[in-house]
Amino acid sequence: MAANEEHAVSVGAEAKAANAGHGADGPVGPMETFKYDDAIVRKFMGVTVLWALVAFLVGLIVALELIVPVATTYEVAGFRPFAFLAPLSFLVDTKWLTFGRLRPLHTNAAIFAFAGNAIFAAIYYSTQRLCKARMWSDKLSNLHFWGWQLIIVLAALSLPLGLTQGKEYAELIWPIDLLIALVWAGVFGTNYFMTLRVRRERHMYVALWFYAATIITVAMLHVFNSLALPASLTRSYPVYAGVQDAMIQWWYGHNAVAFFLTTPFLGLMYYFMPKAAGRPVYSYRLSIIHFWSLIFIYIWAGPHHLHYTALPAWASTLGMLFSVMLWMPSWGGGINGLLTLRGAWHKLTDDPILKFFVVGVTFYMMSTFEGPMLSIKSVNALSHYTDWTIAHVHAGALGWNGFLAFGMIYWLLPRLYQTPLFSKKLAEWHFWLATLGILLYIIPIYFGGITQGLMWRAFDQTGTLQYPDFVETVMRLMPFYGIRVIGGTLYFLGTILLAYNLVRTWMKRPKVYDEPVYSAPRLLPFADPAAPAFKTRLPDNIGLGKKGDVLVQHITSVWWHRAWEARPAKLAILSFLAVATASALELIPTFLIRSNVPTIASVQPYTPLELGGRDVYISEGCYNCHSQMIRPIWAETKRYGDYSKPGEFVYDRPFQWGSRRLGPDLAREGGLRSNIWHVLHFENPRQTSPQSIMPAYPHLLKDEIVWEEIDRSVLTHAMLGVPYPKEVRDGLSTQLAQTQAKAIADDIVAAGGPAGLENKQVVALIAYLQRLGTDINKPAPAAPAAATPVASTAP
Amino acid sequence: MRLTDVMSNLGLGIYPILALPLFIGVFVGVVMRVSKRSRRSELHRAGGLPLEEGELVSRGTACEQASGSGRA
Repeated sequence: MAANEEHAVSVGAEAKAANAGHGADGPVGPMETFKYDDAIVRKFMGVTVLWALVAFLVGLIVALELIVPVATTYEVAGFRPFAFLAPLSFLVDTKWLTFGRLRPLHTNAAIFAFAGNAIFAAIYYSTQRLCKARMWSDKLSNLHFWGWQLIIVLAALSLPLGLTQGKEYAELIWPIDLLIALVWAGVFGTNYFMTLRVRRERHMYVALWFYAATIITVAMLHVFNSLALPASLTRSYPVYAGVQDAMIQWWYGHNAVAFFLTTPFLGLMYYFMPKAAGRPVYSYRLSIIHFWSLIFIYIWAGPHHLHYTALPAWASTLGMLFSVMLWMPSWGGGINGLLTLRGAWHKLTDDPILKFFVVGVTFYMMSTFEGPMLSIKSVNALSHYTDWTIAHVHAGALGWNGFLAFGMIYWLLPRLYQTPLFSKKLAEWHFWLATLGILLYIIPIYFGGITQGLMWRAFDQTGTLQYPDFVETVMRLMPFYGIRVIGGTLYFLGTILLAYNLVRTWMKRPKVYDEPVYSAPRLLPFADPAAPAFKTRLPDNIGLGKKGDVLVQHITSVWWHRAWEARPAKLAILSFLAVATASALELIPTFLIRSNVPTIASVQPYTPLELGGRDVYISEGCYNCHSQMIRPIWAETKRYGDYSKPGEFVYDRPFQWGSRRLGPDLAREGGLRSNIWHVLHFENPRQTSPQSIMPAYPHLLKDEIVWEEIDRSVLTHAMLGVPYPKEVRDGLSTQLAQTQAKAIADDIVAAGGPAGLENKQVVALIAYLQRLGTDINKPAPAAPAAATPVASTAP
Repeated sequence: MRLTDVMSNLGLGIYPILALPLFIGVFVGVVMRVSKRSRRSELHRAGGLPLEEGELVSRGTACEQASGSGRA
């Protein structure tokens, strides 16, 4: 604890806080002086801008990677608009820069590095002031800062190397996951809640509740979604499989949006908007309703990411209903934020900070209108897997998270560096560049997404697909992808202006920062004299009845809420109960009621080589562009084959259903194409499909299979309950894998392909792809017990 | 007998249906709580907390040079 910064200046008679201008109810102790730790806020603010530049730059690169593969061949009216991008072809030829590896880096950098550090800056600044206390421990504050930056650097190194868990927004490998849990809950959580405990302001302002809910829920989501059994230092397999893994992943994924990108930013809004406007929040009552409604409803909404998939229908419908209910608190909160500017709208014309806040909250309202709309099943049937989702996400991330963070940083800069902002004009330029950038990003992608969805489901008069070649639907998106890059560039340029403004303001800082000293009385234990003492109204009843009557009076008086508002531990427990109860009610039936995941007798475990190929599939991030989930929709079954069943995924750890289709679905890929086709396709997709935008994977034809890793993978799966026979577990897996690899390699040579591929990764990947979706058409084995994995028959 | 067998026979299908009354209960409770007239002054003061920073005891010269630094 920073005891050296805090002193009791008057010891003796208790002072009533109300008289001292602190307004807290209840008894208070002696006056104490203290300083705020702004050094930690400066650090978090600085890296927020640094990681914003990295995240947006990687975003630009991945956006370009969707155009570069066809830069020299894409034509519009005889003109090749993207030909000038040809020199960037190395982006799609370099294995650690491929879209599948860089896209997770972009999303992780934007969410956990940019937005993460922004919320830490907001929390460290506002919590100290709302609590009238320095952070509990300077050491923990700094450990949090450096620990989080270490996590980000490890992520930036591991993801391009193909080290991933293969779960969206939870890609980081298990040692980093452990570090996240330690830094988030052990360091940050402890420091935050201990600061609440030693605060000098009785009432915990609503922003503090939002922060508390964030810390608790993110810890819960991260721990449960990351439960996995390690096979090596860099590879692990989730304890959940198939449908259950999908359910837990999107329970995590959706609530990462809710509790990492929404609740902490709402806390930020409720603190910094009143600051910037110079007036209190419009309705504090509404903010309390906003908080409880939001955290209670949000946690249920995850299954809307899995409509029409192999998820049980009841879970999907429940997710949809609660998503629609989210309209109410989201708009209530957004309106509350905007009305905070009542009487201050005139400031908007010459204050870039307020401009950022107002447009940010407006994007919050637009995104939270659109999100529930997309969760409605009939809308989702069109939008899911299309770029509509990408536009939606970027409206939220760039508009809501980005603008709130930028507004906060511009507000903090002169206060933290104790010198006027270097250039208000540059801040204005940033605002307009970023606003135009967002619009140029999202509007074409909305058009593109809807176009995609309509083309996928278009039939001609004869009842056949109007666009049977998937790549046709991709080519139609190219103009939109081009405009998107322009929009992203403008947004990135705006962020460069912010960085420049920050550096120039920092350069004008005083030699020694002033550290103002504040005073406030210490709080003593809360005992509200106005709290009613309930007595039973049933004198003739039995003891139990009397107790019940007192309990009923206590509950209906809702006096308990007041006590909770002032007690961090109880507030934390209540917040945890709200999210944990909802989670349990939704997840337990999916996990433990057998009828929710009917098994299919013919579905057997993957062979060792197929398992190795699956690891390659995950490592390359194929799920970023290819789904493995055919929905029971006519256009999909017509294009891809029979719809996917829950029982087909019982050996999939992690599930690979994906959430976006830049390439066709692969759920029934097995047997559709020859082995040699796959070799040529991986070597350079343009050899088999001239308009393909898939990166080239020539390294797969050179990189060798590590047979020991396949052994460990089989053993780990067996430990997780996959019924491999004993001889496979006891070392036969390498022999089985090599035999299958030899057969595929021989088939490739016989078809005129290159020789010597029997120990190359491409063979393992082909084995996996040739197996996909084929089990359902095989006869069930005679004995239901442990089955010998059967190699697929390559065409 | 496995846990899945036990749970499958417990009729837990009703679990998700509990969601709506649970939410309504929480929502009504919170609305009742914040709507009480007796809390008006308390909530009014709480709403202004972001505009407070604690009572300033001393401040150095470096900070005074900053314009627009407000309360911080």
